[in-house]
Amino acid sequence: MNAKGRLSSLRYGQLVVGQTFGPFPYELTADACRRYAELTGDAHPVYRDAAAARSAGAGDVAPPPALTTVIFLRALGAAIDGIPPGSILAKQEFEIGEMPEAGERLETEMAVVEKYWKRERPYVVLEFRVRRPNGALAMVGRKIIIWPKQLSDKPEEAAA
Amino acid sequence: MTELSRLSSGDSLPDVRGRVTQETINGYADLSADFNPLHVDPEFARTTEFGGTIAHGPLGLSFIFQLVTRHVPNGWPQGAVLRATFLGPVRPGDELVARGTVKNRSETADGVRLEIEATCENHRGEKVLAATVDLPLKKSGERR
Repeated sequence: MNAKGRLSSLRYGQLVVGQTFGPFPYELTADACRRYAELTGDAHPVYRDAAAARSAGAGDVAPPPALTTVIFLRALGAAIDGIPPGSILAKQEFEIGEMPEAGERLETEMAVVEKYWKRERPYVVLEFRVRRPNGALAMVGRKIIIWPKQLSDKPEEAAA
Repeated sequence: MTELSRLSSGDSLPDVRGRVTQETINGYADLSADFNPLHVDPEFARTTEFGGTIAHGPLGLSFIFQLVTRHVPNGWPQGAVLRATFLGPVRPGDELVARGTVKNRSETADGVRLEIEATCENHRGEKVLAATVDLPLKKSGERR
C-alpha cells in the first residue's frame, strides 16, 4: 500500500519497455539521513554527527547510500502505486555516483527497461536514476521483480 | 575502520550485525511511504503464505552496504557497484549478520579494484541475501 492508501493491481501487460515516469522530487533532509542510520543501526558518525560529517567533507550530514532504497520506493509508489501484492523482489543493483548533500532536492526518474519470461515466471526490470540539483547522477538502481502470475498473461509467442 | 585498499584476495571484512524488529519495519515504511500490509499489518500478514509480517526487501540491503561504507571516511563509496539477490524474507526478531570476503583484487591505473562477495544470514542460519560489490579505490586508501 502506498502513501495514497492504494495497493497496485497493475497488470504485467500494462508495463511497456521504454516507458518512463517522473521525475519525482525528494527532499534529502538531514533528519532523513539520521533516521535511516538509526533505524538500521548504522554507527558511522558521518550519517549522524555534523562535526564528523564536516571533517570528512560530507556537508552537515552525509546520506547513507542505502537511503536511496527509500527514494526508489517513493518513486515506485508515485509512478505505479508500488508493486502489486504477490510480487517478488528478486534482485537489486546499485551504481553509486556523486554524493548528494543533505538539504538538496533530488529528482528520480523511473523507467521500464526490460521484460521477459524465465522458468514460466514474468520478470520486469525497473531502473531508477536519482539526480542532484546540478544534474549529476547520485545513484542508478535497478529492481528485478517477478510479477504476480495472476496479473500476467503470457504472450502466445512466449508460450510456444 | 579498515583500510580497504590494503586488503588482499581471501581477506574478510569485519561482520556487520543487527536486529530487525517490527518497529524497524514500521520506521522503514514511514521513510519509504510503502505501507503494504504484508510489512506493517500483522493480522493481515498472518493470512498470507509468509504467516506473518516480513521486512521490505531492500531493508536487509543496508547491512550489506555497511560492510563497505563503515570503512569509507565520507560514508559514500562513489564508483562502487552493488548487485544483490534476495534469497529469503527477513522477519521481525531476526538477528542478521552480513559477511564479506575479497574474492579478487586487481591493480588499476590509479589504484586498486576489489571484488567483494557478501552474504546476509539470519540467526537460523538461513541466507537471506547474496551480493557482490565492485569497489574502486585509490591506493592511498582514499575513495576515488
